[in-house]
Amino acid sequence: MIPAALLLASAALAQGAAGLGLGALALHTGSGEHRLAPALSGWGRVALGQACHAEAELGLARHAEGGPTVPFDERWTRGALGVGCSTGTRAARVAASLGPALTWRRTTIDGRWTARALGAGVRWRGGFLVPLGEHGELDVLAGGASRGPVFDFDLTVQGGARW
Amino acid sequence: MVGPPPSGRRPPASGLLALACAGCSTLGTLHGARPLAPGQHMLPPALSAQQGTEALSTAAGIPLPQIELGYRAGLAPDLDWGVRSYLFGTTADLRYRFARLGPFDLAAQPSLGGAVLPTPAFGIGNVDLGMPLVAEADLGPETSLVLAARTVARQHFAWVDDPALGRGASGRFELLAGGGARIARRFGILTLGVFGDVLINTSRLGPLWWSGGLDLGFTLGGRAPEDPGGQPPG
Repeated sequence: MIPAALLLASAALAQGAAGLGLGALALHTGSGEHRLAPALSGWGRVALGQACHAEAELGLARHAEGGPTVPFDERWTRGALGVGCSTGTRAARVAASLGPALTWRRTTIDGRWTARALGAGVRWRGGFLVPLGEHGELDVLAGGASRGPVFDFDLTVQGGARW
Repeated sequence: MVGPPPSGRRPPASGLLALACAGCSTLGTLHGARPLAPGQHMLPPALSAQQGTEALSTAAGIPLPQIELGYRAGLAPDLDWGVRSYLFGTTADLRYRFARLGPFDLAAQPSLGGAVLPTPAFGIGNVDLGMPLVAEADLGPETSLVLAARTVARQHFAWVDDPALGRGASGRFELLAGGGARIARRFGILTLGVFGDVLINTSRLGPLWWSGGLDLGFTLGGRAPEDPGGQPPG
């Protein structure tokens, strides 16, 4: 249950890492509520010195609602860049990052009316960067992104390769 | 979505209890930033009062009492885990001291927990993901100050399954953000703490959620969680 990296001594930050992520996105919907939706993302990270990094992320999510209410289908895509830093007394590192984000939404109501919106905002994340062996990486990150006056929140588990 | 109840039927009395305990999650920051060393164990009971936007206490204008029982154990230098049980809920966490910055030890303490209260007619509950960042510094040889900033991602859920009330389920997400402070003093194997926390609901406007109380910690298998262990921060 406990990642071995937390039990290992500190290790240097990888020069780079990339992979895929699965997450739960609390999407700010048109009704003003946050609705949970599954999210898929691709990510990459390169080291900037001993403790900092630059990262890029492209995420997709979909939230559909039907039943007795008017059915709507919301598709969501977000691209984000970030600069962050991390530190740790064990091999796992606590990290935080901040950067710009662009979010595109396509909402279809009752299968007939469609609205599209592109919103710029700020992306922030914090969590754990956990090395798995020599070349593996498993990160657990929580964060959010703004879209104008509203916010989406997410929890992502992302895995991949490091070098 | 929950459908409207038929007219002329009032919710059962158990529903009032459910509403009263909708804020029964624990809100307190009870621990510092210094994990127990491997081989150490701690029993940290606590008493608190809390008030939140979901609680009957908000409507009544009085805080709700809360009681906690817990257990913590060291896993490795700079790393321990714990579990806390409270009225209608449980939370488990990992605490990782990731840095030392001047007089402060810094730890992240992610937690997963929640509360649920099922009744014959309906139930309510919530799942919480907590992400606290905790700093601890000594005020004296046996006294320490803990400061915490944190977010709590909370998913509420409710369901109804009653012939008169209808059948359905609903949920709502909220992100709480805030901070807390705790002053603790050690007396041998006993640690006595006084804490207070304040959270705001970033998902909708509302009154502050707060918690305050007393906690005790009985540390076994060693005196105090002071072993820095590990390597210097990289």
